[in-house]
Amino acid sequence: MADDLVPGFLETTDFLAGEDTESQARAVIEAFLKHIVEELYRSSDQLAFHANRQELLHRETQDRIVQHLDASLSSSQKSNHAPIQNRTVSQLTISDYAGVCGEATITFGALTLVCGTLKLSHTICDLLRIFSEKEQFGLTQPAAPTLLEYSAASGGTLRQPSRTFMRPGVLRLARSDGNDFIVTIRGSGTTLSVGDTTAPVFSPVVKTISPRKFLATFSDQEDGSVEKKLASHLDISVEDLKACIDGVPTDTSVFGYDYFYEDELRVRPGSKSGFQTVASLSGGEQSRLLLDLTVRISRYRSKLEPIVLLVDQSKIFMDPEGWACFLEWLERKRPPFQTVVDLYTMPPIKYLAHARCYEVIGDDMDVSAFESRTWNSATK
Amino acid sequence: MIARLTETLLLKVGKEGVARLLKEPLLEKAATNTQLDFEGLEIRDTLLKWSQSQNLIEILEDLKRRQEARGGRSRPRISRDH
Repeated sequence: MADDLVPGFLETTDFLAGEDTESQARAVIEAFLKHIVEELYRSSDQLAFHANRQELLHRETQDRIVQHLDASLSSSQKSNHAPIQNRTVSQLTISDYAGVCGEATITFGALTLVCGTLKLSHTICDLLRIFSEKEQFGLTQPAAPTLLEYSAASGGTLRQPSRTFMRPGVLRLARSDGNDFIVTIRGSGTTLSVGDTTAPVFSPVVKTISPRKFLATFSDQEDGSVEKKLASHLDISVEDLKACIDGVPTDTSVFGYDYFYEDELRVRPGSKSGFQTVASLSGGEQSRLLLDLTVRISRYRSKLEPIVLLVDQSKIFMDPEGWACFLEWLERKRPPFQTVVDLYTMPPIKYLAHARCYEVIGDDMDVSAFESRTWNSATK
Repeated sequence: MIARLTETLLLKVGKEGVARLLKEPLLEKAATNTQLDFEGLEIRDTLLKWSQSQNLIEILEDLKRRQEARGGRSRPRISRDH
């Protein structure tokens, strides 16, 4: 073996040992290879040890990741940053209603985001409001027949009652206290049942707060109706609004807004130095004000009763940064109420660890499921 | 002896394992030990220079092949008589 290497060795190096150059070169190469192999053999034990250690570390890392994923999944499933007793809405199952074909279920966390409800005739917030608002529940009832009059060709008038065709469907709402409420929509009428028992009178089974479109104009400001308008948007009286503005020491603002109420409401947006009237705020700032006050009211009310804040992105004009700030605040502050958001455009947020995200799967009015996603996969 | 050790080594850690171990510190140590064997010759740097120009893994594999060709398996075979 060493014989084959000698010519190359002599050519590459300046090795000279007189007449014994070749034999010495052979001996040197043999000795060198022997030492290399010995060193390699010695180090191979370390390599095996190192490999075993690496394998162990790898296994430990895998275990940690699995544990972390389990914890993350369970935290997202429980999402108990709202106190457990305050989580009123646990699950909503829609059967052949609002564009869902078959049965589809959403499990709610403290913060639940649903993307793609444009494929449905109702948003998830609308469907939840059926259980909380008499007006919304009434909309599921078939319209009372009216008498339509037709002029007959032969003269005279024909009278026919109008006929409405309601698509039958079922909504089942599971509350976290274990009670199930079922709204059954039929051509003959809509009923609300508690378990198997039909309730003859509608009564809200969850308490919701759902901010709607709000835009105060200068004419509103002039006739002093801004506060009235704002209070009616929040379903409270002007006196309650004033009390909310005065607030309590633990109040924090989602957007860093400051309020001042003397003769009229004045607001100082976080980025500005002076107070200004509501009408002088931009549309985005007014939406921020509305959300800020909604959160404040939700916090107060959730001290007395479980509250679900229903936010429909299409009903609040706000820039993506404003939405990002709002959702991040909910994630960070973990307020004591439950929040459900119908999202249409994704705000620029890197990651929401505790939010339960759902994507509507299917075509327009032919939805088959609500698929649970992480924030990252939902934003892709 | 070297051939048998090489064969065992390659069986133990494989070609990739040898490649991972065969780094400069190991070669320097082997060259120093060789220098100690040949006190009258200045060969340490020569060996390091030479080792850089050679594919030592191929040389070791060649050693292993020769050992196998000679039938000198290091691992004992189970006899059919047992």
